[in-house]
Amino acid sequence: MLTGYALALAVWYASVKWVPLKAFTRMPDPWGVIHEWLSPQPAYGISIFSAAYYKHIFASTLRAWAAFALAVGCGIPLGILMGWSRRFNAYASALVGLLRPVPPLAWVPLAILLLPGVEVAVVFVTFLVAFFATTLNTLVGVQSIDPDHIRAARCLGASGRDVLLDVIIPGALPQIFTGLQIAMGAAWFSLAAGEMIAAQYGLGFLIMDAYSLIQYPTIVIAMGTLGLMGFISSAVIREVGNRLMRWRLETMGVAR
Amino acid sequence: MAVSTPRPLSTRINWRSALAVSGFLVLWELLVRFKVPGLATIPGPLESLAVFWSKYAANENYWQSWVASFRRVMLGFLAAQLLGIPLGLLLGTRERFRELVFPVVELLRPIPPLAWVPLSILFWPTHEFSIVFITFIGAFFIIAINVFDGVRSIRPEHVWLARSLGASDLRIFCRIVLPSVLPAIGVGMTLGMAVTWNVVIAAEMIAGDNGLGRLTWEGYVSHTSTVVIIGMVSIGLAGYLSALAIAWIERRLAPWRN
Amino acid sequence: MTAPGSELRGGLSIRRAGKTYDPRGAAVVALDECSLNVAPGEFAAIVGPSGCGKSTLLNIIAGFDGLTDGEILLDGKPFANRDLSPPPGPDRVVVFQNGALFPWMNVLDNVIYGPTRQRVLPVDDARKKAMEMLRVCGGLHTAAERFPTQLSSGMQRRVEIVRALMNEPAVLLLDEPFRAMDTVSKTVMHRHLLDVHALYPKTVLFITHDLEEAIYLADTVYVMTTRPGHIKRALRVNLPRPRTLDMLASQAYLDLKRQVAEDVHEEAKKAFERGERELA
Repeated sequence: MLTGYALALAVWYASVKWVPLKAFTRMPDPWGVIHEWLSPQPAYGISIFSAAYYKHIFASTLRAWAAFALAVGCGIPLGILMGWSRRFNAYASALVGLLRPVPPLAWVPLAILLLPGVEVAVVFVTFLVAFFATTLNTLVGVQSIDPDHIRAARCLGASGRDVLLDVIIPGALPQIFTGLQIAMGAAWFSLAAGEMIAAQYGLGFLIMDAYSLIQYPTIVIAMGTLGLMGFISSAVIREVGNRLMRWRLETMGVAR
Repeated sequence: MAVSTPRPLSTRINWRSALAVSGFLVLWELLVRFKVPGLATIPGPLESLAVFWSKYAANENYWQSWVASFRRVMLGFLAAQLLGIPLGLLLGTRERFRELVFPVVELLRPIPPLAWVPLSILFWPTHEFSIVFITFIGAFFIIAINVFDGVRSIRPEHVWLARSLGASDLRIFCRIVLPSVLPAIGVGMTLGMAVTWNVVIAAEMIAGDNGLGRLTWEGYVSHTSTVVIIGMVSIGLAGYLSALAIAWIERRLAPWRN
Repeated sequence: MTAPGSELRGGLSIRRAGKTYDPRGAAVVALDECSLNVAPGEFAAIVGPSGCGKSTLLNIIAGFDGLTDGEILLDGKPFANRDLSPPPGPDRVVVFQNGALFPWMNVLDNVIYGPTRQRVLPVDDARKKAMEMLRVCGGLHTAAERFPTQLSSGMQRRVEIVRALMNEPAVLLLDEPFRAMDTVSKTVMHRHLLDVHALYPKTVLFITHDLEEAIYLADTVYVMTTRPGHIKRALRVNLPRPRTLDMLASQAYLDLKRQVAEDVHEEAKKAFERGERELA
């Protein structure tokens, strides 16, 4: 695995330093980036030692998780409702189908016009993306529950509410968590774009800012950090899922 | 004991969809008419339609935006398929390759495509190239991962059977591996197309000089919300049409799946 | 254990039951003029080819579906007809073909689910009763903390039977429960079911496509025709209980089999030639 990284770094370094095309020589090289990232006195103000770096990380992470939490809070109940009631599903699917083809980022201008402030607009668009992913996956999760489980619960005297809590939710949980991971990834993707288009701070903004100020190593630092935060967020969700769904791990033989 | 062809379920619930959609439009129109706070700045559906009909339907620049956006989408998407499918196949079939390359792919994948914009602008000679590159990045990882998954889920029995019947490696590849990953390619294309549109629009907003995203953005910048609405609807329509096309392709790729 | 002196319940009287799916559309007739009687405590088996409607009948009795014609009486009282569709309940618990233990609960929680959800027993009492029943029914109490997917399918079925019996049902409904199991495991399960039935006598309705299984287990075997399903023949199995394996080679058993094998085979052939996919 490490050889892969080493090779990639080598290719990057080699192409920047030795390929005689201007396109390549303009690019920042790996050592420059790493040096900048790790230096206590960064030339362009952003490194692991600078407070500004963490401010941007915090702003982006807060937005991403806030949007995500909202999306989950709305999306899971809606998805369950859609999976539960055919009638409701008919109405809701039509609306979702109408709004879905619009790429989430196309909502940015409208969101800024309608909502108070850029911050809210960016969070809203991020929310929208995560919301669709969560709802759809929850719906699939509910629809793919083995009907025999529901019938069995009914036989055993479960009320509608019991079925919901004892069968629907645990049964759909694996698919819901797959959806949550997708939603988190999509949220970061949207957030980055939103920040690049219209924000005043955050990692996406940092990328555009560094670009306009010709601070190229910082661009790469911000990109890498974005990727890292996205990755960590998805990993957190996966872990939470594993905790909640102990039974899956135990049956797959990887119980701790 | 008559067994006639049953009426398809779709005609029975379509009136509900129509009701939901028209309800939404009516609500929108009413909210704007009654100057509900917050929505005062945007036009209702009727006004938007009127403006569209008078100023945009016959406007050549408007349709040029369609062309510009579509061209970027197609170039980026196609490049992503041409490079992504082989990458997925290599990752799935060659162990050494996977060991070396997969970790790097996993590292680069979480980086949002749009984060590549500045580097892309620096690197590529023209603006057009840099936007197409961003589009490419969006769909590239998706198709590569999907194909990779597709290869991994090929039933080994199929390969063993072919080998026992004397097939060479090349034949196995062409007759078993490729057809088996066609459904995965279909899925990758469908997911990739949605992402591609998302990326093109945003890239145009950030750094483009024409196209539907740019159009929408200019509407925002000039505080003409009608243009914003028209832009969004156009984008949605364009995305929908692309999704239809991809769905058609996906059905052709794997007709045995219902 | 059923309390001594309690009456056996669950007598079923099915009179000309009919079920038509989608009456205004495709009009698929699953059941037509289907009649049979099951005495309280009797072990009744229904044999028929796939898709003949036997599962439909079970579903209607269980409460998952409704009749469009005819009526069903439970213990002499009107239970189901065109206008009356009782909901599923613990008096008619089903053991499903592919197993329906909840994978996210362990064995013990699965087994106590019925009584605790109905608030018939407090959790501790339910646990005690469950452990006792699990122990009696083949030493399953050792698996109490395990999850269903960690058990073999044979053990899963056994746990599911215990889960059903915990509710003291009037009728125990088994929908081809051993269909997906290999022949060896099946013989073990047959023995197990017979033992459990001896311990906890209940009215049993057992659906299967396997004639031999039906004769071995049941008091009465009903042969159902292919779709639209009705009862073609009823066979009284007067082999003594407890049933033993050597009975399978006895003359009496072979005679019984001979009487209905022709009928069953004929229906199976018809269904096969139809080649249609089964109704759910």
